[in-house]
Amino acid sequence: MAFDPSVNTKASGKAWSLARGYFVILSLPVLFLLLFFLWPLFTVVTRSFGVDEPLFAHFLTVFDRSSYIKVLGYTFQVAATVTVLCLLIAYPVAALIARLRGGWLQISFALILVPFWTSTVIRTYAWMVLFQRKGVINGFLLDLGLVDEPLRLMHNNIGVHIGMVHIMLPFMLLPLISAFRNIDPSFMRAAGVLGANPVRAFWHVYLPLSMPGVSAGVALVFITSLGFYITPALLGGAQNMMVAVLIEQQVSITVNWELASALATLLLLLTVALYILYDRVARRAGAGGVLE
Amino acid sequence: MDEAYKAAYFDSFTEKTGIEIITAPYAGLAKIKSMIEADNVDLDILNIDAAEAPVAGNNGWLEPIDWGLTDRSAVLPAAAWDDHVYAEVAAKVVAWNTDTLGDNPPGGWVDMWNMEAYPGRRSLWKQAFQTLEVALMGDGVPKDQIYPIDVPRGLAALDKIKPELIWWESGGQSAQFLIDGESDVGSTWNGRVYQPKVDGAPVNYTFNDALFVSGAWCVVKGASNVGWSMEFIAHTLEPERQAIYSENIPYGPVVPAALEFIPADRLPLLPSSAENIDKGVWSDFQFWAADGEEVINEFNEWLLS
Repeated sequence: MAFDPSVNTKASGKAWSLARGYFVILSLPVLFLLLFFLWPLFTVVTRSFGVDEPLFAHFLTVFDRSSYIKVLGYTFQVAATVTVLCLLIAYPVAALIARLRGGWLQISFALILVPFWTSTVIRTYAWMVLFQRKGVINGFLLDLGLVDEPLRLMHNNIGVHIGMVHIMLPFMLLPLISAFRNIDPSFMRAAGVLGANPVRAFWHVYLPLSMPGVSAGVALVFITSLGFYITPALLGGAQNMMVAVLIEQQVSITVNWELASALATLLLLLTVALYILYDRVARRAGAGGVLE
Repeated sequence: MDEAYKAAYFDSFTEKTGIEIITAPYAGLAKIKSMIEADNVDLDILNIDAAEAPVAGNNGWLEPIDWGLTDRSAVLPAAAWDDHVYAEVAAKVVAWNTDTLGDNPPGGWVDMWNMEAYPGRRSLWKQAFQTLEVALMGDGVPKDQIYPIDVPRGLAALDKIKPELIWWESGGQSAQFLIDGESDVGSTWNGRVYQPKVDGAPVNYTFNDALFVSGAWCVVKGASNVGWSMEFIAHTLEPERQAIYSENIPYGPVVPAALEFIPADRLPLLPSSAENIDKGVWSDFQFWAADGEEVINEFNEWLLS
């Protein structure tokens, strides 16, 4: 709406004080973010360039060490797999929960939120109890005679993925449920009335309308998964090393903060790049970007 | 450990000097570096991992120890340094699950590497330090010749047990693996398996081939109470105080004279008692401070290969 002070001074004065009110309210969180988020981020990025070293020296070290590249690659691969698995599991479950009303809805939310509020370390240890060589699952399988020797459920990729999917599921479920609940059920009925079979109605009506939830869930799960530390450490094996472990080694064992910052900056850049790419693809698919 | 320090050192220091010791959560190298960089040193005395002390020292973050207050020769030579002193003698030991290996206990790392005589799963720390030492001893390197670390040989030794090898990342996990039978034989710290063993868990350990490790007392550069901090460190080195510490926790004194004040039935449990000290070897923290980054990188590359 055009802003013309000469036409209606009263209204514009109101708009002005409203804007000033917003400014005051917003300035606090903005200041907070500047101080406690952007400034540390800025120091990390500047530190990654070092002081006296040639430009990009620490980044070159990262690329020089094959282990670092492998770990970065593994980190993104795990995050991607976990995101896809979470989406596949959460989509139908969330669609079902979104249709529930009353007590069942509350029970469903409790089932999502209670693990969500439980410490990651405790949940990871619980998986260890289940997955161990002499753990609950192997004991059960051996007793039933279904296997001759214990299955290796942890110290490998399987353990890492199950543990991480379990921990990340609420981050996918909650935005999906919220998106599904915003879909007017009459749209699907209308699609049916107009002759679309259920598959077609889902594909052309329900799925596009649910995309904001999918986008939010995917972004949340993927980005959070990139920073995982304890779950892969406890449930994984030799090869399951996340980039957070490398960064921690550089921060607190060898105290090479420049190298740690270079790794962190690289992780940030790759994440932002993927995020922009994802946003583009999502927009092109007509599903709405993450920011919409 | 906090309680043992309190019982042995903090309370008696306050009694003697009227100075209260206020403890803060564990401050590792990252915390020290940020304190020094921000020129905001709010700690005086540090008890950090002995592996961290030479790194801090090499960076110039530590005050020199005032050896005028204590007879340096009364302290184990391996434990006394110019800018830090070890707080105790703990041990990385070979431990095993007694349900599977109780009748056939391994006698050291060489046995852990012997898959035929001691079948079962192995567990080791997923870190280059302490693990490469263990691997070299397992491969038959005499314990006084493990430094400087022969990295290729250590990794080749780890390759030999790799199919049966699982990794732990925290001290609690190292003991839990052995107690739960997740692993049959592996490395852990003696303090981690001592109490479970006493409580009847199916776990046992030996000090043979032990790798001695420790915490280290040091004083941060620019601390506001350097003088009293040095007095405190001297206080911890009094034999009677060291003895009380070792009665509260199964870690040995760094001052041999303290052994006289410790009940005889306690001595077999302490890594630095007369009967145990020659069974093991000190971890060379100076080696790791100098070459650690390179070796850690090689170890990581091997892990991921």
